[in-house]
Amino acid sequence: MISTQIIGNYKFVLFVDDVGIERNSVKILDNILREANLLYEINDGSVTVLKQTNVILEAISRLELEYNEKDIFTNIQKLKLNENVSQIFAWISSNNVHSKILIPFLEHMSELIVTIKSNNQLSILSKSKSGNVKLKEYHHELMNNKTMIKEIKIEKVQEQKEDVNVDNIGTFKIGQFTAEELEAKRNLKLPFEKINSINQEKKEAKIIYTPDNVDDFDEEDDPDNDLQFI
Amino acid sequence: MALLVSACGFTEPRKFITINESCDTDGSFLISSLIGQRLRQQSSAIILVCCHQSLKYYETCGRKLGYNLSMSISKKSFIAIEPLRDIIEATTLKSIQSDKWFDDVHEKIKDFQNNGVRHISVIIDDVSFFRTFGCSEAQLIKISIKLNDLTRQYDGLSVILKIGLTDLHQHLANNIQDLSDCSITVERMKSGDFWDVDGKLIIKKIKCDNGFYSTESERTLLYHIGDHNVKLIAPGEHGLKF
Repeated sequence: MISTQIIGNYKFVLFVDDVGIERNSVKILDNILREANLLYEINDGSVTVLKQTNVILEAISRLELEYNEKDIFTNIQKLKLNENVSQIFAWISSNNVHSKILIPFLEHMSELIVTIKSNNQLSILSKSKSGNVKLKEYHHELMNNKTMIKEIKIEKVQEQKEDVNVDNIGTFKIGQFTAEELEAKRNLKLPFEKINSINQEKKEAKIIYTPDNVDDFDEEDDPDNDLQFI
Repeated sequence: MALLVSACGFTEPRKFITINESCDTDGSFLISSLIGQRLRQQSSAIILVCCHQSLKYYETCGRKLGYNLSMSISKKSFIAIEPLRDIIEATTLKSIQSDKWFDDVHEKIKDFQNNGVRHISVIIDDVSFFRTFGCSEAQLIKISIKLNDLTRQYDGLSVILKIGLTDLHQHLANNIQDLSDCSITVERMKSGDFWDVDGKLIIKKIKCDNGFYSTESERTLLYHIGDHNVKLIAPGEHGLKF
């Protein structure tokens, strides 16, 4: 039942209609109030607000024809501050209102926002006095003149971490050797190991030069000695 | 033509019909066929506020569609209000901007009612004209609400409102459409122009059960305007034929 979610602690309840069922707004609100056993009467003129009165405003698009935005906001705020008013219900249709500021500002003013998103889905956003904000999604049948709603539970997909066997991932063996393989591995000398072993054996460095037959050696020590360099 | 009239719900006891005309389309053929259908009814009268086309246009259309509008005018079963004709005069412009034309319409409804006319049709072609000449959207919506209230007040009264250029006046069109029990949308084909199809009609009929409004039926039809008739085609009906 939608009434169980709406009737209660929230002073200003706003219905935001994105579908275009404003024509049925009175009927829908009537059904909700009847469910909660709340009686109401329609008054066109000035009304004296008695103790614990619920106020249903005319559709905001109709109020917009007569009043400017400021007047609408001021009067709703006055009703909110009135101690004799227990709850205020307003309906705003995004297709029918002209002013772009109306919906966001009224959403800011309200404590509970029922957004009719599509023909079968609505969301209820509630703001508690402690500052907590809850958003829940529901399936609805308002188009069939029914007030039943069913919560859509968003299932959290938990990632299950499986123990991964590293040996099965690769295409080669890591760490598992047969005795022969292990022996071969131990005996294998890598190129840098070979160089190190040679260096260890011959500690002094030596240039060994083997001349070719065509190589020409000067016997003199310094061939340029005869030149007089200053 | 009979098919068009019945498909659009003109033969049914609908009280408030809106015709939404998007840009680059002309729904005047609907008004012409509606006038023909209403004139054939016994004890009927029509009040036509013609802003989109002149009265001469409807007379010519009537001759093509097989009814004589001049005869109905002389019999005083057809009254035309032509704000376009006297638009140069400043007083006319003021009366357009004010609600005076609505008061004129109301007076004429009362006269017909007093003369015992059973079926009165008020046709406004089209509302966006008033928007062009300085009426606000709120003012036009309020007049539409008043007209809707009149349909409840007078039993035999039905109101047909045409809203032109709905692409530009979406807010106005949405609000007026919310009052209707039958709305007809005239659109161009999104895929382009064809020699055998001029556009499409989306006909949405609304029913009311115990104060709860729901869609009774919604259908889309293609139309082609010929010289003396309008041909309706179901989508998908046309194809290659040998």
